[in-house]
Amino acid sequence: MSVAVEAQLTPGDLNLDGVVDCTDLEIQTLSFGRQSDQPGFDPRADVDQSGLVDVRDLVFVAWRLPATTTCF
Amino acid sequence: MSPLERLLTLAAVSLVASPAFANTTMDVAPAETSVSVGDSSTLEVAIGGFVGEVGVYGFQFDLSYDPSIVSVERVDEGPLLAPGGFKVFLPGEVDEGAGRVGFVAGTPLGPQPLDVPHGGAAATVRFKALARGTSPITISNAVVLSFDREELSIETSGGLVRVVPEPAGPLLCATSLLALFVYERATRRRGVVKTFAAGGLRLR
Repeated sequence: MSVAVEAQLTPGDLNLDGVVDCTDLEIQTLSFGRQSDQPGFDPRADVDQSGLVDVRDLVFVAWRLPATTTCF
Repeated sequence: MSPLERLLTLAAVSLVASPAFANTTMDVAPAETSVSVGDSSTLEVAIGGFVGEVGVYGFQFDLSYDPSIVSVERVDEGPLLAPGGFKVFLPGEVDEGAGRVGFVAGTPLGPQPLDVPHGGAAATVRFKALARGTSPITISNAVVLSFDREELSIETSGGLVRVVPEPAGPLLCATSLLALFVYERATRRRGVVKTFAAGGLRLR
């Protein structure tokens, strides 16, 4: 017997909890400036899979947050 | 000038003047500053150019300096991010040994561009003057993203921090007064007294 699971991925939802919120942004800020071979690098934060977490990844999540979000 | 030449000249001028072909700038301001040993000085990293035409969303940069001349005390967000209110600013990591602040970044939160038609300071950096000399301040790893999250072409220009000897304060004053006193005593012994009020010399 096999079960098909269909997951609805939300762009920017790095922790896969179904919403894009401050916890997703926190994943990025903790990894910001890290390369894939450095400690602290979280591959979930490297949205463009360039091997580096930078502003290009940051804006991908930031853009998808509600406009009145206050995270920090 | 023939009509064809005139037309070509006009086309070339309008091409150069078009904001679509102009670069966004990231500059250290002021470009040169002097500070005394032991004092601090704050510089801005400003984004300008035709940012109002494209709408700025996010930015990032590194800053390099001579760690034997200056050190970084703090990095703060500049007024560029303030109009939106909802934003994230990352002050970067300071590597004092290498003389580098890496990955200073900021972006608004949500799909709203920064309302900065003329640009402004993305960050302020406070340096402390450690030793006499000149430290170049260099921008690298600069990225500015448009409202469409497209990378903009950037021209960067750094700055210079000149560290001068600390001004002589009370010690110099005391030394000068002492020297004046000794001089006065010596001239009295030689029989010459300066009469400043009379504006001349009087022999005893």
